Amino acid sequence: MRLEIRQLYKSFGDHEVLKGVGFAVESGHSLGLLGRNGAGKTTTIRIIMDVFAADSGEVLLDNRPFRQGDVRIGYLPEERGLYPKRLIVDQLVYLANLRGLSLADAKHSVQHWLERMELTEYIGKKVDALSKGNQQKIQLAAAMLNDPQMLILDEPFSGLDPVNAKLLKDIVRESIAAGKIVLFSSHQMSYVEEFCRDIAILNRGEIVLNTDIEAHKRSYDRHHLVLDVPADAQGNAVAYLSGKGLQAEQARGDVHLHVPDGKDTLPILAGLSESGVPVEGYRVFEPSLEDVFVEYTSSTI
Amino acid sequence: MKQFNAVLRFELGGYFKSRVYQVMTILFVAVLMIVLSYPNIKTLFSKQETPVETAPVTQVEQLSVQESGEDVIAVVNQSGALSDQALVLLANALQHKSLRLVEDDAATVRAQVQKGQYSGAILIQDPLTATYIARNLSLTDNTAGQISAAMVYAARYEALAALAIPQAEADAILNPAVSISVDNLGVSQTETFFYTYILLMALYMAIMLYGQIVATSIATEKGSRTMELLITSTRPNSLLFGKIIAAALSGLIQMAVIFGSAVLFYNLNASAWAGNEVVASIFNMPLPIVGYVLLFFLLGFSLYAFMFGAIGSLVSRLEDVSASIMPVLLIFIVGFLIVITSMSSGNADSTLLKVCSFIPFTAPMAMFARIAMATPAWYEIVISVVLLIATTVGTGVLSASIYRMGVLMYGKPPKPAEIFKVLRTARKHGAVLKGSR
Repeated sequence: MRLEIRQLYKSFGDHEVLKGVGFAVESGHSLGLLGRNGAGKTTTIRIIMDVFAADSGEVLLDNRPFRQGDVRIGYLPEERGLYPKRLIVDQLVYLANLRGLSLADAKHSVQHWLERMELTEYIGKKVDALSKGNQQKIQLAAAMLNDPQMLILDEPFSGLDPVNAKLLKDIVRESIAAGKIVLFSSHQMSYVEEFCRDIAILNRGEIVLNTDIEAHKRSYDRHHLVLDVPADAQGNAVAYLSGKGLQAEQARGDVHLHVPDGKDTLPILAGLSESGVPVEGYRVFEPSLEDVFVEYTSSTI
Repeated sequence: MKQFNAVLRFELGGYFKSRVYQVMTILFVAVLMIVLSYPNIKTLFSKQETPVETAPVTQVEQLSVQESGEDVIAVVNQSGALSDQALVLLANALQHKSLRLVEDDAATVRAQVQKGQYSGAILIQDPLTATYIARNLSLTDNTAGQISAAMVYAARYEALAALAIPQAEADAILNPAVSISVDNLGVSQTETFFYTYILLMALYMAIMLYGQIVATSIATEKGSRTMELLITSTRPNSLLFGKIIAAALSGLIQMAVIFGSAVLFYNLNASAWAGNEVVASIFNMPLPIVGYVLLFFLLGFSLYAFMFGAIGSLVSRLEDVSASIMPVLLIFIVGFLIVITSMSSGNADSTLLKVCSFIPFTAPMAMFARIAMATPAWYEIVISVVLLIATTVGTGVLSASIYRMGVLMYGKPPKPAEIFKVLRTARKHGAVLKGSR
């Protein structure tokens, strides 16, 4: 399966929220939709979910217009909500029923997912008796009930503590391994980096970067090195390197060095070592996803 | 259909498991049980005090048996103004009291009544003039009227006697045996009034209560943000219709339980109610009336529930619900008041009621009242019901599209003009306006 979004445009009144958004994601892969607040992530997801229609553009599944009901979908909306006064088991069975499960299958699935979420003890409780994090997990369970072929999660990590975030990561990883399409939005880069191969960065209604993360990171300048130098020797290291006419600076607890084209790295490091600065290691600089994100979303404002 | 069933089951479960629903139903049943068993309960607590049938007084010597007490009335027959025969008539007219002839003067008797020796006193000045002294005058005290009637009767007797007409002939003149039989071709309002009133109240309360529950329930789903989850997996029509039919069913079930228990308790206490025409008229209502109640409940409820549902989907906070449904509620209440006042005035076929019985928003109550208390022509009923069905279906379609648009609009409740705008653009683009938040 391949879910493809093409040239989505959407305005609310005079405000143009989406300006030609497009990306694609395939079975067994996940796509992280990244963007700052108000970038249009939730609007894009709502259009995919047919909460409202785009002004123009297409949502395609295997090159045919995507319709709800074609595949099993698990959806975690950004606006979380369950019936506060109804029993958890009742409403989860209800939601599973609405997604086409029979009563018996629904009950079975609810039992399974509450066990998975370690929430079995709350099965006969009302939602408003639960903590916010646990309510979040119930929501996630609700999205998983119908064994979705396509998982669409809007800001799934917000409100989860590290232990629960790990639980969610495991579930997402399993879903990817099981060949599901996983599309989620986030602005917590560290989580995205862990299991997303592809990202789409949305800024002010436009996709500013849609790429394979690893490939993108490798595309950065290979001459930018990071040197492992003890903190007390970093000043000397920068002074020595600058003295040799090289571009060097102290940044984020390391010494960053740009090696010009045509120069070998190792003699420079040997010289630095001989000058009395202990060089414990070095590597080619690879930006974190956060660096990439900031680079693509702040420069265009 | 599968989704509709799921919605229906979930919503019905919500009603049946709700404390309010359970308590209200049980409370109604309990009240009915007490009210309908009241005659039996009363005899259970009071000593067997079946009132002694007092034989009619025939001679003046039978008076003055009781000296004093709560039901003794002193009679001062000043200078023998009334004949013995007239006194006997008076005694029989005041059968539930016992009369005591006294010789005291007016002031003494007045003081004795004040002290509570007698419950009252009658001072007879002449055959056509008397004063009734009451210790207290209760709301239902018609002693003065009874005295007057007895004295008129006595005066006529004496007048006839003066003309030398014998007693038997005088009786025939004063009490001619008249026989009247009523052959009613329509409905008798004394028989229909009470059950019509009760059923109208039930219609009114059920539509009002369950209509508001629908509005609140939709607003709650919206407020708790459950809506996005529902709307992305379920057709809006299944959601709206499932909700409304669940409300109608739980309303019907509640009414069935309440009226069923009323019938049960009535039959259990049937012997105690024997002879009470009002109660008998309620429980002997004709079956077609029950059918009409069901018809008008379902149509009227659906019509109002669709309107309430659409309104519920437009507000974004639960607190706004009651203010927003006010205009619709007002139409309904005004309709109810018109029907009730027309009914009580005794003219169930007034022009106002006739007009109301064709306006779909008041027809469920007005047409029902006319059917129960008057005899509208069959084509009038058909026209009214057809108009009502058409309006209900139209409102349902409109509500479903307002609902689809409304549930995802957050912010201030939109003004009517904005709703129309949303509907127009919705038809054109299938789009939704974002709330003004």
